Amino acid sequence: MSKNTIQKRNSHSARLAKSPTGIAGLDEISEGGLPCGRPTLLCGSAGCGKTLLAMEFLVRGVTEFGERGVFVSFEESANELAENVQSLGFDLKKLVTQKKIFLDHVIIERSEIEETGDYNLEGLFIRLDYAVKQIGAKRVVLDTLEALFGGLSNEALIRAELRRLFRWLKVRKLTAIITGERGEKSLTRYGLEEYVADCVILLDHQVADQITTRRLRIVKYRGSLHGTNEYPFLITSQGFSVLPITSLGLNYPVSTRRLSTGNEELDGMLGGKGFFRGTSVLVTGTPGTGKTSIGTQLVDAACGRGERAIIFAYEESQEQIIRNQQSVGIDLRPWLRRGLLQIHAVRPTVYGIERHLVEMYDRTRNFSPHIVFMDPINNLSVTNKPNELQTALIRLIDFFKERGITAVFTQLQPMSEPEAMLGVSSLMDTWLELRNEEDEGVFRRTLFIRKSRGMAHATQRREFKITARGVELESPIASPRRDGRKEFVTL
Amino acid sequence: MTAGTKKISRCSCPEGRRTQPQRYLLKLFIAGMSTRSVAAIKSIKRVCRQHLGEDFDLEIVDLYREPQRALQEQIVAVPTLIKKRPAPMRRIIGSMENEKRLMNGLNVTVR
Repeated sequence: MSKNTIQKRNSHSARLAKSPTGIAGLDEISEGGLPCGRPTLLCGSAGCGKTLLAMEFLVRGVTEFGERGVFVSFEESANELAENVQSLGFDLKKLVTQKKIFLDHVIIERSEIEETGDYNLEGLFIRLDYAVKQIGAKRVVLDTLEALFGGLSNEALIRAELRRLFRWLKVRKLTAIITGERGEKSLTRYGLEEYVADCVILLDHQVADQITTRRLRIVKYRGSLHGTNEYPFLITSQGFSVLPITSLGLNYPVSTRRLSTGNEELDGMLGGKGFFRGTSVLVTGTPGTGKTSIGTQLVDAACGRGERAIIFAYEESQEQIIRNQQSVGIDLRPWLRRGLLQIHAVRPTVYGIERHLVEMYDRTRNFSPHIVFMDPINNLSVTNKPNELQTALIRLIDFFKERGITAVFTQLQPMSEPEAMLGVSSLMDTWLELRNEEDEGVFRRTLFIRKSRGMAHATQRREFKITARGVELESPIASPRRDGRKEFVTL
Repeated sequence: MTAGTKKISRCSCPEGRRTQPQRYLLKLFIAGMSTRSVAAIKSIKRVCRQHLGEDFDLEIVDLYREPQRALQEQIVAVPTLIKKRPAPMRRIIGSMENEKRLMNGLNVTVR
């Protein structure tokens, strides 16, 4: 969703004004952002990204919406904060020098303090007021107020002052994020949710099979519609990215332009012109059926036309791919040299699927390729959650489609049950099925277009060979059976 | 001389071996002249005169007039009295009505 549409939507719903966060995905699931001029509680256990999210809200407030912000930190110093958000590509020190963000590090050292009677927290109010006035702030982050409970002993007094603080923020119409540590029985350890009635967001991270997945949920949003699911989110080098699986729009531009497969015969099977650009292509097959060759042929052809491509390889190293493809007449080295091709080879088990997605997003954003080839997608999901790969692929495919990138995925089908693991095929626009058929002691490679949306494609299974000149299709070998079964019909 | 300052004068650095006790440097931060502020000022002056004689400097800062000093001096609660010298630095918060605690914070003992 673009900023404009968010703002437009805001002006329409006069009942509850919203402040867009600029955080990818969060504005979508919150239907426009956080409640404007009101505090939002952001809770979660240690290390789940509260501080980073709050900081991004401030930084994007400045860079995208022209609203300055005050960050009151009870834990990290200004230097620590600046260093931590540097990884998100934010130059905090510059924004501070430009007086667009004001940082105040509040230190409460209990061991230094002697309590000698009644007091209040007016000092904190004075600091906040001073900071807000210094730069004309509209946004405020308090991270995390609960440090007060650790530093001072009079809990009843702190609670009364917190109530006053939230009123204070509302009166000044400051859009605020207050962070709180997750409690065992309540949302936050000190029950901050009692004071913040408008909007509560919960961050969580779950570790399954040694892989961490971060999730975000809007627990409560008074007077507003909001997505109620748990949404996975990533912390990328460009900031937070909440992935609203269910709300991703199917409204990307559709191309009628075609993309040659690099093989005239195969183009012929695909309505004579090849794939549609910006679509997703799945190549499935049992081991050794030539999936990688089909993919690299496409990449080779694209680079030959001067287009950019990225290969995400999860089984072979870069050198291995280059060597193996040379044997079928494809030389990828010139394309690498000329900067048209990037090969990113990594073991899928190195990190979780979320991290892989980040990597792909990053590289894709930076390189803006025309074609992306992922080989293979099988082991990307190392956990046993059945929907994980599918969910990730939906996100990936949408990501590529929005950018008009043609994405080719290979998927290995196990020999024993070739029909297994095809749950992702429904996401794909084109599905090429490769097989290795034994026919009286001779193995024949065959190719079949199981589907290709939006075009008249060949319905015949074709035999092909992988030669030193690449993939070569033979003449049609059989008609598909009338009953529609895809069983291979031998000659 | 107090127990605390004696300890310090026995520290390893030779130039720190003073015969005179260090003069107290105190800063009181208040938010306007509330009854609590007035009570704190009275109490501090009384205790200091009683136990330190004239050996102290007290600066009173109204944060409403000088808000930036709340940031510089890390003030959250008011009133806050900071004992800058002698070391160790201590923060004493509240109306200062509990004299025992105030003396404890200032590290002075009954003469």
